[in-house]
Amino acid sequence: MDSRTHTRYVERAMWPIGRGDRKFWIVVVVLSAMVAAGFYAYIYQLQRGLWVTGLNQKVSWGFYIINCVFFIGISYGGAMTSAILRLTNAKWRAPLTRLAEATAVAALLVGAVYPIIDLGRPDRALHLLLYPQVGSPIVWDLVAVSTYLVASFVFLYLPLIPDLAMCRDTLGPSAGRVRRTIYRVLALGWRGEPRQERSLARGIGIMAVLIIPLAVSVHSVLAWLFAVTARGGWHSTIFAPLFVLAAMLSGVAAVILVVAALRKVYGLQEFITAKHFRYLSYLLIALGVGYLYFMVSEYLTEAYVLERSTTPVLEAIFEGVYAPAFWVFTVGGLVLPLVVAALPGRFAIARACTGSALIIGGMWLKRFLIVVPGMAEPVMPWDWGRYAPTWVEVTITIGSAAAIPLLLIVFFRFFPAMSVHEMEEVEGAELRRTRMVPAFAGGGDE
Amino acid sequence: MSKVRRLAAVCGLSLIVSLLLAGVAVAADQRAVLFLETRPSAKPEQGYVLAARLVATDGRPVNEATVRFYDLVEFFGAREMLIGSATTDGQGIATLTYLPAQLGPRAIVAKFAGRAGVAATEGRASLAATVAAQPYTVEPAPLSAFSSKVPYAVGAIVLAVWALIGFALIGTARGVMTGARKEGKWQTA
Repeated sequence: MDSRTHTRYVERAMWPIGRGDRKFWIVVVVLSAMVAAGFYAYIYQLQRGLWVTGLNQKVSWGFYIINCVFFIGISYGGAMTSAILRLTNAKWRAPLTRLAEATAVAALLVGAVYPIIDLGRPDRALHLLLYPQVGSPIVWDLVAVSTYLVASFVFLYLPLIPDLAMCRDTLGPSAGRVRRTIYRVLALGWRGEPRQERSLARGIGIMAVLIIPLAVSVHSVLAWLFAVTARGGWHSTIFAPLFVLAAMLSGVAAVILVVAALRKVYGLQEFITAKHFRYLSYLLIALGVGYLYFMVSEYLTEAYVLERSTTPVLEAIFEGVYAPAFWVFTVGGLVLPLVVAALPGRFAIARACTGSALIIGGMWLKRFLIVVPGMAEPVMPWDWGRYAPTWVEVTITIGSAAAIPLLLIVFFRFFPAMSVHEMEEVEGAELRRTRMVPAFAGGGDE
Repeated sequence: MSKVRRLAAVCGLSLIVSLLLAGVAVAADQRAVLFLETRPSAKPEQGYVLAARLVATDGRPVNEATVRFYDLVEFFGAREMLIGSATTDGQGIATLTYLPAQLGPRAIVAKFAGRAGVAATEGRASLAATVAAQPYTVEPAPLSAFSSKVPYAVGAIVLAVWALIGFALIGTARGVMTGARKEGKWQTA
């Protein structure tokens, strides 16, 4: 790679940093308002108790648990996309990995909060640490999610080190002293030396390998929260792999949407092309077909045996009160998007985005179909439970969904959206340090 | 004349009814005494025999009466723990075998709730228990030997994962910083 290409990479990657036009601030204000509304709804719930939600004695899990599974699933997909592309050394990954890793962290931060929101007394979350019961899946969940959160941060940080050095060397005094100090400290004195490259490659390699079983374990534990409960529709051996696949599917769909949005916002069309969306669509289709297979396998075995506890749930899902949601999910949220993404021809980006949006909506519905009918089915000879979310749950859900893009655009205001180092590495070019220094050194404090 | 006869009839009836009611009241107020005694069972492992004898104040035994036996226990305050009930025989005796849960002195109460003609009563006795029921032991759950080791195995895996994360982060940071220092020396040289 010549220095002109390198400079172009750097310029494009650094362009969003510290920059904020009118549109940017409008987006920030709108998203912040939505997040603030979510906070208000939570404070309202905190002051009055869980009765302000639609949760009740029979259906005690609702939007909050659905959102927890959903957002952690998105995070999982982001991390897995990056890790798999790194491990398979997919050359087209370079402009995408940072976006996927940041999406993973942002979605995880949002998803991990939901179990606490679901508590009427959030102060009792401390009891998990003070009086843990190793036999409780909630404790498994705490261990798995906290480990995965730390690993996700490390997985985001390590590939960022060379880019932090780039920020340190490139950004002038206008960046501010505090920010430049942060870049300098976090860059750890990176100069692109072979020894440093080796250390970094080893660290990223370990994390790329580690993040996959970690992400699998997190979503398996989430699945076991349901599967170890003797409730109709939950007590299934296939739940853990089904959850893992669902997470990957919704996560890849979310990555496609995030990449498409930031590509347009940050003008990365030159680096992220239709080819990337086509490849991501292939991944989406493979995962979608896999998920369809698992889903059919689950329902086939359950509907054939028709155990007493499972039958009412299956009836409710296939032909009862939840049938509209189920068929909308199956047709509109799974089969149709896969067909749209698989169609040959033009508009690859639009098709990938449409398919991804449908899949995200569909996978949220699927989580609803897992949580609510299983809860609503009476385990005693009573009537079915009913669940209708209130404005509190809806507002918190919208606020938390808005928090993910807000976190991302705030993050990319301070850190490069593309990994220049990785793009150069993938293209097989050596960093020409001696040529770089004059180009980058202007205004640097090193 | 007819008024006088009617008045006399009403007064007579009232008198008869009053006398009948008074008779019932007298019968209901008939007191009874409940004597309670405890003794070791013929088979020591069976515990103790609680024998309650219910007699009316005129000395006649009260038969076919239900007697409830209680052990006075401390459970969030003093409480009567029901041991069981027995029915008196022709001699007014009701017996029950009791194997206490704990050794040591016990206070036993026998209660008769009363019935038509016999008033309620109760009797008390003490018991120095030298035999007691074996402590309840929970049967080991299936696979308990295996599942008791699982938390340790999972804990070891979690620790190994944290160690790997730490190694990846700290090892990389050290490698990068060491490389930077060497570069600094090289530049100085």
